[in-house]
Amino acid sequence: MSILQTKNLRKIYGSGEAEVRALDGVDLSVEKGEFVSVVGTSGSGKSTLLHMLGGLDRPTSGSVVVDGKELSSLKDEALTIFRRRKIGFVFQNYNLVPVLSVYENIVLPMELDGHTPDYAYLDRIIETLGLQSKLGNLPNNLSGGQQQRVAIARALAAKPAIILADEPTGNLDSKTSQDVMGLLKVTSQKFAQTIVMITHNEEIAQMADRIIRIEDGRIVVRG
Amino acid sequence: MKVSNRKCIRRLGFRSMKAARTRNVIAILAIALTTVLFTSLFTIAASINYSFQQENFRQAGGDMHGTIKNLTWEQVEELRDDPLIVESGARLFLGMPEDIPFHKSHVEVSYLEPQEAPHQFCVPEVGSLPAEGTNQIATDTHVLSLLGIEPEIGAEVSFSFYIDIGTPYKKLVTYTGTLSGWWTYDTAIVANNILLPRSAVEELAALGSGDEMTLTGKWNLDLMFKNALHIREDVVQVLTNHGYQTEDNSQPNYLNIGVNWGYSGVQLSESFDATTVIAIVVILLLIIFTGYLIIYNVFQISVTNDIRFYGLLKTIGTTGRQLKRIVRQQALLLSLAGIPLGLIGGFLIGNKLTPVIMNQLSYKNTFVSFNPLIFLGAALFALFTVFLSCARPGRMAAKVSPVEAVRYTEGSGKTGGKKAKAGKRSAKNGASLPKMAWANLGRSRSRTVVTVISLTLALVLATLTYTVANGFDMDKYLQTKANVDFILGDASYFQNNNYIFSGDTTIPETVIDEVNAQGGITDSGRIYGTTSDMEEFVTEEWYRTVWSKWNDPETLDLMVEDMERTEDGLLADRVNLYGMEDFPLSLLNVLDGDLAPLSDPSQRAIAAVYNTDDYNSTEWDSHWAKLGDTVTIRYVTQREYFYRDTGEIVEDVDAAYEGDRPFGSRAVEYRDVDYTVCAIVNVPMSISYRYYGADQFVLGAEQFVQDSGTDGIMTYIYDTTDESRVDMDSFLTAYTDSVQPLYDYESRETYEAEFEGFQGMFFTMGSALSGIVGLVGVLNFINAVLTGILSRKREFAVLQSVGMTGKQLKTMLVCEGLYYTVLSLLLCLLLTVGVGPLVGGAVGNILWFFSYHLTVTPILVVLPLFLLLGVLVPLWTYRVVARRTIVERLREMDA
Amino acid sequence: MVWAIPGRYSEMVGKIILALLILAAVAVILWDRLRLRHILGVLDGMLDQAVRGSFQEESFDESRLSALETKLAHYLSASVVSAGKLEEEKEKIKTLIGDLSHQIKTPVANLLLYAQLLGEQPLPEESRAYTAALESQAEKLQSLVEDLVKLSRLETGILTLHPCLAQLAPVLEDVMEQFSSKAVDKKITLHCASTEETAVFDPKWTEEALCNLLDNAIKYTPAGGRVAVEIVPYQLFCCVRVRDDGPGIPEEEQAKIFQRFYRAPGAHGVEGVGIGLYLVRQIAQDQGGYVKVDSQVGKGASFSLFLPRGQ
Repeated sequence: MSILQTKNLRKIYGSGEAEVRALDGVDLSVEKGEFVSVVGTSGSGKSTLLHMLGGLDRPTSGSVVVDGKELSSLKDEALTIFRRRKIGFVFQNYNLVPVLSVYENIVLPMELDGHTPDYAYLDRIIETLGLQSKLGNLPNNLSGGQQQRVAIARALAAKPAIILADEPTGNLDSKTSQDVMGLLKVTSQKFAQTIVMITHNEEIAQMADRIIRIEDGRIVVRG
Repeated sequence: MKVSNRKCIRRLGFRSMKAARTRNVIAILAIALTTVLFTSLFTIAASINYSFQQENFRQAGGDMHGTIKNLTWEQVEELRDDPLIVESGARLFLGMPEDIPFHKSHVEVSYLEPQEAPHQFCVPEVGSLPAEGTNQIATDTHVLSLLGIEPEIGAEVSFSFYIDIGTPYKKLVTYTGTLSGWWTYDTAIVANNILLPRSAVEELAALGSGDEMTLTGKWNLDLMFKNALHIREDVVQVLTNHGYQTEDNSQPNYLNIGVNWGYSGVQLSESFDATTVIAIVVILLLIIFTGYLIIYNVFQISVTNDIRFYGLLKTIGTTGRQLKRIVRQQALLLSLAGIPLGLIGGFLIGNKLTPVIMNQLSYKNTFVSFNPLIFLGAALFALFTVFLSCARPGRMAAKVSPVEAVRYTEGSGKTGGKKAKAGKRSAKNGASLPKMAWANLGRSRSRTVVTVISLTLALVLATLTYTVANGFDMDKYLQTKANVDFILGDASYFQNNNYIFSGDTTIPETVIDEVNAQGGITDSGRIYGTTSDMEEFVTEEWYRTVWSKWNDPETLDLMVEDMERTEDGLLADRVNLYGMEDFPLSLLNVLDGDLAPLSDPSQRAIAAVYNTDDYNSTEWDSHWAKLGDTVTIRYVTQREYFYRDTGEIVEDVDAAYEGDRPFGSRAVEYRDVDYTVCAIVNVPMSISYRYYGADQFVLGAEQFVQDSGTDGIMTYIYDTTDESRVDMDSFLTAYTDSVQPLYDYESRETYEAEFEGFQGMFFTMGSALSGIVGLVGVLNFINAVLTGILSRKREFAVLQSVGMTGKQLKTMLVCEGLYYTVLSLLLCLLLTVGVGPLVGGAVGNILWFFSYHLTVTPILVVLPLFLLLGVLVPLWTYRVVARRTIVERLREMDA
Repeated sequence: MVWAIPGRYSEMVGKIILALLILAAVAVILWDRLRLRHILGVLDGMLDQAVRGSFQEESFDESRLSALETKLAHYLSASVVSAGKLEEEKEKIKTLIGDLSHQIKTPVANLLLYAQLLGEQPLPEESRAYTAALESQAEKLQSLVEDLVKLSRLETGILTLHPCLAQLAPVLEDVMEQFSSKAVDKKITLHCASTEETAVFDPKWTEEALCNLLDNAIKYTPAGGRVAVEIVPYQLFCCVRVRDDGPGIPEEEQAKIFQRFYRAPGAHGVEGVGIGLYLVRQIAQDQGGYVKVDSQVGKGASFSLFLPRGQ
């Protein structure tokens, strides 16, 4: 069962001579529970692809279907709420809310949606990510690796259909990177969580079940 | 049904608000200052209204809602238990003195229940109300001075007064007692009271006839209801509840009632005419604008700085509406702190300013209003301003695109083409510090514009205040005043309201003698006024032109119908004559002709008085008589009244006024004198009748006395030597205050003081307003510089890491600061020079004694202050930032 | 300012106001009923869809109904459907295990038994070699069947792992002991660093996994090569890395080698059934760790078993 599917996805910035084809007809399908990495150099269109998949930006043409829902059919407000419920994000710079504690950050997407978290599930996530002792801390008091673990926990907590990770280890040293990637891998296995990760780092990409390469806005190798 | 996520949004809002401490302090101050402005405005307006109302109560003789009149004690006790009545007080009327020295005063002798005394403004400042079972007496200082008694407890007071007034049994009685207390006479109060103990009043009332018509021995019951919305209905209801009515006075259960006109809504709204309302609206808008400038700027800057935060929230699923709510909620919380502060501050300032204004309005008493509506209104307006101000920043937060926000830094994107060009140019020329500073201002144009406007607004207000106050032209102001040192007249002559010159308001020769006895008088003269019945003859057309100004068409038709006509169809109209001695004549402004014939009675000469407008130019259509015309004045000695329908002669004129039948009057004994118009003149306002209406003419004094047979002196005017002027002034002050309180005077100094007072009021108000607005502007500036520097900490660290010295950085920041202030100064200068004359002209149209002079003094005064600000604020902020090392600063941003 | 309203008039006004109030109340009740009916209708539709297994969220807004849809979707995907499928699958595998054990295991055991009996018979030299080959093939088949049975039990949760905090050293020593002779036979240097590290793992199964890795490494490493086992500690994981000098694995195959029954095209010459790495991955996953491979063709391969360190 495919949880994420794009069809002939195009994103074109500018026009005329200044036209930039960031995505040029991307067809992609991700199965439920899959851990897929998208590898490409900077400027290859991988970030743009992630933005499209996450409904952060709208494609010029083509479609993105997440969990059976065509994203272009959703209005801005609905799209925001869709994100809140269906998509978890992990960013290079963590993007935690600095004024909220670790725990509050983790449950934020759920509270935004007004429902109480599944506490048992939450405990498992927190334990898996080794955050039990940090729950009361503010993000700024944590190391980069710890912050990224909080971000992963936040992405997982709402049981999204898919987690989109954008260079999740970009700001971390190699050892911490290995740890964070390990956690991502383990959570993907343990919680059968679909993950799409973009990265320029081949070694990091190897952690995934499947690697998709993107160059000049096109998928080049299907592995 | 919505999901319940408000709590989460509230927490986000509250937490992110707590994180922005500097922003909070500035926002709270800004909101407080805005509220201060609203509160002081409302306090002043409410106090003026309240004082107006209080003055009305004094004129109406009390502040109780309504009265049931002419009762027996049994009726009083029966009626006052009514559940509708919240408070009641009864008064037992005895009589009134009418003979000298009371002939000019309205004095009532009565008993007042103690709880009623404050409502009739009869609270002894010294001593107490008369005690029961004694022969004590309490009254005001005016009565005491008329009786020539020193205010002293226990002083013996003896006076005579009439009871059964208005009946055939009117009778003089005398009362002697000891003084138990007194209060200061309040000129706003029409009636003076002499209070006696109840037993004494009842005893004296027993001497009366008991006639049906008499007021002696009758009780009045004053009532207070829950509110003043429908007093008449309430009083009638009370009557109905006890089987009385006030419709038909032929029935035995009829009772007369009264409603305090001081409470009627019409009266209250009169204190706010269109100009005042417009002024208040303009000031309100100005305050909203001022508040908007800073609160908007504070929120705009804070949202811009936090844009990544909002973008992040949006990425993880916070909707635009929720983001807007976060911003709004922060504004609300900050208001919660700022508004109460502002209410207190505003009330204090309003309290200080109110007396300054009240002095300039012709109210005798200042009452500061504590009406809770002031605070409610100010709070609501402040809240409105806050929400208005944070609407756009809220929209900005709501609209943030998650992709952009993830990499947003200030000044990136959006500004477009113009900026790129500037960048290219500076790239070619290399980056000099002032140029970099200028480019930095351009990075957030809206912040720069709003800050500069905010500073400019304060400057413009200050300049405007100074220009207007400075432009008050004493010469223009004095133009309408006669060129004379002193004007002496009846006290009412100098009080603008309701004054009509009559035989009761003349000044006696004895007073003039006493003044003359002071010596030092160089020129002097009397102005006589009309105290008897006089008529002139005018065409119906003229009559209609004159009186249509004061009456509606229906009334005018009735008036014309009632007029008596001569054979040639002219109407006999009232006329006001002046009789002037040579000195006053010399002060007249002669437009045409010659005044000399006036001094010679044999020439039967007369001068026609044309009115002038505020700017002292003659209104040429204000009189019908032209030079050389013949004017007939009819001096009436007896007049008879007749009913229009039957022609029957009216016997009892008072009764006819009460009745419904139309009646007219005609002169039966009179003398007609023909005069020739020898001159056309203006009478300076300060020595005129001081009211308009009937046509006015000037006669020579001798001729006036001779022809009219009256010698009622309206004013005595005179010049003194320079040396004796001060003595004369202090003599008159003492004389009119204590010896002859019925008379008053004006002097050149009075006018000058009046002028300076008005100028001072304007100056105080303007300074207070521009001071607060200035504070707002400076606060805005500090905030702009502060956040501008704090949000660029990392950028500075980068600049320093590539070799910019701290000194160079400081120079750049100071340049930025100076650009703000210098831009404001320039903008203000531009406005002053460009728009100033237009505004000056407009003010000149409103204030007739205003002449516009271009002035840049305030700008020059503020210049060093602004320059200092521009230098110090950036330096001080930089010091705070620079305390940490470059590496620390660079790292902080990464974390 | 007369506010009083004559009696009859005020009575009429009162009646009108009362009528309006009642009307408003009726309107509110009707509106409420309509809404309730609508909501119940929507819920009914949702359940119908769920029963058919075609449930799909319709709307994304702040309404409770929309949140409820998401919740139902979560519930459906997490429990009913997947639980059903899982049960089905488990049942199939259980049957398979039964089949394997009863239908294959016994004949294989018999095969082995008779091969051994045959070997004890006096046979010609030529035949003796065939008998030895028969015996070794039968042994291989038996171990394969054992592996398959283990794997199945593990996958279906019939057997569970019991990870606990323990020293890695004893496990490594055991494994090294098992393979030292095999390495010597193949003239391969086997090296293992000593370690003090601890991790959270099930010693028995981890040994199994390491054996699989080491077995592979030795299998693919040519004579004279070297196989090294190292321990790399991270903050959250402890990595046991088995490095060989084999032919290496091409990149496009790296993700596939952990799949069940996958055999690299270049590995045909080597014995094995392609289930070992899958078992390793399953063991790593079940104790909260994972396994990864780094390799380049011609430069050997290194397999890393990441074990959680625990808190």
